[in-house]
Amino acid sequence: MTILETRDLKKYYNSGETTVKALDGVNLKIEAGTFTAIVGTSGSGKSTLLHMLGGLDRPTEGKVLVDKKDIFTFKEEALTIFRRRKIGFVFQSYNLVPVLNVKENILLPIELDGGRPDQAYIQKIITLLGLEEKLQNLPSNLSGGQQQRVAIARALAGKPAIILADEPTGNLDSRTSQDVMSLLKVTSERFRQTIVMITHNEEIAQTADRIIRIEDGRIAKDGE
Amino acid sequence: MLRVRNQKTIRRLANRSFSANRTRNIMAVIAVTLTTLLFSALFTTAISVKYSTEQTTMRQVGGYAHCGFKDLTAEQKDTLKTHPLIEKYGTNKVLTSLEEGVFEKNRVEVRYIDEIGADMFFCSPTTGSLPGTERELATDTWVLDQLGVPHKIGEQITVPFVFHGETREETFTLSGFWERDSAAMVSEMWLSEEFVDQMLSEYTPDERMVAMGAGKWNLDICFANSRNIPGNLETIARDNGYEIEDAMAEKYLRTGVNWAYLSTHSNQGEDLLSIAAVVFLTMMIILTGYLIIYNIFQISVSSDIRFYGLLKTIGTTGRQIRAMIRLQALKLCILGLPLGLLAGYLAGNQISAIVMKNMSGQQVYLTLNPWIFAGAALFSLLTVLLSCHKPGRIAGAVSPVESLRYTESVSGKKKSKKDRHGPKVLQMALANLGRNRKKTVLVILSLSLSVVLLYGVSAFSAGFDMDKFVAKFMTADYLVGHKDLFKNRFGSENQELKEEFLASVNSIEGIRESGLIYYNTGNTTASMTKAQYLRFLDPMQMQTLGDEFHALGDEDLTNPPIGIYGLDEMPFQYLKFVDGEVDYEELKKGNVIIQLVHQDDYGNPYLERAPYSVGDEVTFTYADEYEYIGDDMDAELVIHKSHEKTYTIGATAVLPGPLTVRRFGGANFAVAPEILKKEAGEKAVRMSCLVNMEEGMEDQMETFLERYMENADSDLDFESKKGYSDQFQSFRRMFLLIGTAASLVVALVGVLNFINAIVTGIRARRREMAVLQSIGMTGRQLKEMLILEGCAYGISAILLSLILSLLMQSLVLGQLEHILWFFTAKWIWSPILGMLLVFLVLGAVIPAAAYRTVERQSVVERLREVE
Repeated sequence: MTILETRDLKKYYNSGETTVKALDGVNLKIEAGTFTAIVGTSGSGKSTLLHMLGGLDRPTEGKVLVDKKDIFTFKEEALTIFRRRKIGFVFQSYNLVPVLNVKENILLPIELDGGRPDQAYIQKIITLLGLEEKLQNLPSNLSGGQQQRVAIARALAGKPAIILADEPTGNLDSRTSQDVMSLLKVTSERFRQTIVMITHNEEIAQTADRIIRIEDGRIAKDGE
Repeated sequence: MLRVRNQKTIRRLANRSFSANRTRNIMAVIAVTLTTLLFSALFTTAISVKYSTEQTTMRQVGGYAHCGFKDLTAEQKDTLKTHPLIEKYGTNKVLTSLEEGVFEKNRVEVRYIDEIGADMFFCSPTTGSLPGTERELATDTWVLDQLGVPHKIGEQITVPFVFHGETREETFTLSGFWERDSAAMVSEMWLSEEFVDQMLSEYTPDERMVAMGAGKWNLDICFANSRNIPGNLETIARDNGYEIEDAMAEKYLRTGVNWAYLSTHSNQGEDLLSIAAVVFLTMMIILTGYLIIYNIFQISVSSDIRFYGLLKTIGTTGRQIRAMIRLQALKLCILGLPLGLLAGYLAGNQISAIVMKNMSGQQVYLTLNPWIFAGAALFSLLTVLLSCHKPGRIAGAVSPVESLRYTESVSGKKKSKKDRHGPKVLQMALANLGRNRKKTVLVILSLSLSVVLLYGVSAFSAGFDMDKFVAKFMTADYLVGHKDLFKNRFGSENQELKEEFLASVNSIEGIRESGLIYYNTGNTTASMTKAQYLRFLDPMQMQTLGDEFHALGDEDLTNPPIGIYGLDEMPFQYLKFVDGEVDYEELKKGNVIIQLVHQDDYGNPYLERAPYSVGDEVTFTYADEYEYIGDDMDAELVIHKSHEKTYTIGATAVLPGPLTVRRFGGANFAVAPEILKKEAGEKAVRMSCLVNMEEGMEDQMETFLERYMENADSDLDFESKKGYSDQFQSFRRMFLLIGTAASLVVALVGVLNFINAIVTGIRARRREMAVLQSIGMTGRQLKEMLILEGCAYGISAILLSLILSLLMQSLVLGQLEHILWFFTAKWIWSPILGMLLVFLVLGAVIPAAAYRTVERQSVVERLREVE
């Protein structure tokens, strides 16, 4: 089942007389439950693509369909709500809410939506990510790897259709990076969770089921 | 859209992010407190002054009832009092009044009254109670003193009543008493209903008693509020089948409305002016509050923009973020409001006391009006919500992607940077001010506001022209007369200056010159055409003239009453001739007289109101024997004997206001005292005595007068140049005091805004400054840059204030000269230069201090900091 699809996605930035084509006609389909890595060098357009997929930014042209719905037909407020229900984010800089503790950070997207968390499921995630001891800590008291695990837990908590991970290991040393990658891999398999990750690191990308290479705003290579 | 239950989460986020913003909260709470303080001080002052003025008038009138029905039968009273519009009522039944002997100057009204009625009169016994048995009595301490009775319950009092010209003494037991209100014009004496009825059955009311409504009931009424008193009164009458307009109607009822409530409506111009002033000040406070609270939130939001972007990314909607910010603002209000309300109320009471003392020498009646607090809290809340609305929108509308790379930078077009030589540090400082232009502009505006306000207050009070003021109210060093003269109540032989007094005055050392002004208290009319009469006839008075007058043609003759002054040579020199001239020797011959006119506040004579021209022959009719028939208001004059005298108008002149009988209008003339005495006899009364002292001896007279008033004649009073200049100075000081206090609070707000901008600016640029240092900028240079930034704020604020003050000078203060006669606009530098100095010092000290906290961290530590 195709969970995520883009159709002729374009994003142009105008800066003075020159137009920068960050994305120039991207077509791609991603199946539910898969772990996909999008790789590319700096400036290739991979971050722009991720922002489009997550509905954080609007395209110049083209469509993004999540669960068969064209997300850019939503108004701003509705798009935000759609995002918090369907998409989980994991960022390079973790982006935890500094004033909330670990537990609160994990539950935040669910609570913002007014929902009641599935305690058993949350417990499972916390155990899997090894965060039982840290639930009351504030993000500033955690190491980088621990913070990223909290971010992954937060992304998983709402049972989103897709998790989008933007250079999740960018700020981590190589050993911790391996840990985080295997956690992502395990979650993808255990919870049948669709994950789309972008990275510039070929080695990291190898963990994924499918690797899409992007160059100058276009898909250059798509393979397992 | 689905309504979801997420308030708790939003509240938690709001609370946590609230606690994380300590500095901002302290700043914001102070800002809210100051704003609330200004509001509640303003409202307290406005309401207290209005209330006190009302109270004072009520005390003069002698009651707080809104209105009343008079001369009722017992049945009428009992029917009327049940009307649903009536909130509260008091009833009383008049017997008579005491006006003889010691009570000649202060009448005592004698009646039976119920408890609420006594309260409405401000005459409830503070010791003891109202009469319970037939032979009991309650009255005020002044009456007790006059009758020589000690202030003690149970004392025996003998009261000399006068019925039909015959004195009848009755003895009572004192059941209660109260302190006499010095503002009241009459005293009250309460008796039992039984005694009143018994007297009334023994004596049919004589003329005086009838005039007071003896034997009839009065019903005093309070409605739910003081709006539309006459309308309500009419409704009650109409609902019971009575008429209150047409005095000839069969079912007519006499009514009265308390003019304490009327006077507040009759002065509509003044009322409008006060309302405009309060509205203007309210707007100013909203602006003051807005400038700082908005700025605090603006800065806080822009420094937390990543945080909001993050919340947005993980699914917080714009609405939720706005709610978060609003919640935080409300929490700040909960802390700031009560403090501000309390401080403002206390300050407002102080201000009211000062204002009341200066305006009319009256005391302030404190009022704990809930509207003060409700209003101030509401306006404060409004200001806060208004202020955080826009920052809330900014935070709510933040684009998740943008916010992740957000740094403070100039938005919009940017001119290419030319390579300029000169101090790089200054250039950087100025560029920094341009980074968050909105913040910079708000801080500068906020600072300027206080300077402009201070300038306005200082220039206004400096413009008070003492010479103009004193010249209007006082011509000679001292003017002495009966105390009623100064209350505009002069007009009878009883108020004449006594011979003994004049003898004593003339024995004082140091008198350079002195003289008397006489006034004709008798009845004299002048013959003139209706057209001449209309020139000075007051429209209000015209309505009271009968149909007979209105039927007259313009050239038909009529005989209006006139005023005649007799001037000694010394007061004569103060006459300001505006047409023709007469010397004193000629005046003394008695054939030539001077026509007097009034002048406006700017000294322009009302020539058009003078009935005669110079050279005209006029005939005065002096009434030699006459009497008034009927009660006070509608008394009719019956003349038994009179004589005529013809004069020539030699000149028209202005007699300065203080030398007159202090009533405006009418036709007035001046003659020599001998001439007036010859024609008017005993009715030519010594009204006032004018004294000029040798230089340096002025105080002699004041000491003498005060001692004389205390020991010999308490009915005297006086005015002096010194008294007026003191009063004027104190009036000016009041303005300066209140204005400066208000400016200081506004300045405090401005400085707070400034501190907040500097401190948050430096904190946000911690990392950037570390970068600058790492590439070679010394700490000293950095500090220099920050100080330059601080001073640039101050200098810009002063420049802006200068422009605004200049505008205010020409647009407002310049115009004021035409509105306030004692005002002369002057430009003054001191407030602006003074504030410049203050701002420069703060501009240097605050950034330097803020930088010190940054300096404590090493460059490396700061560089490592991500956020």
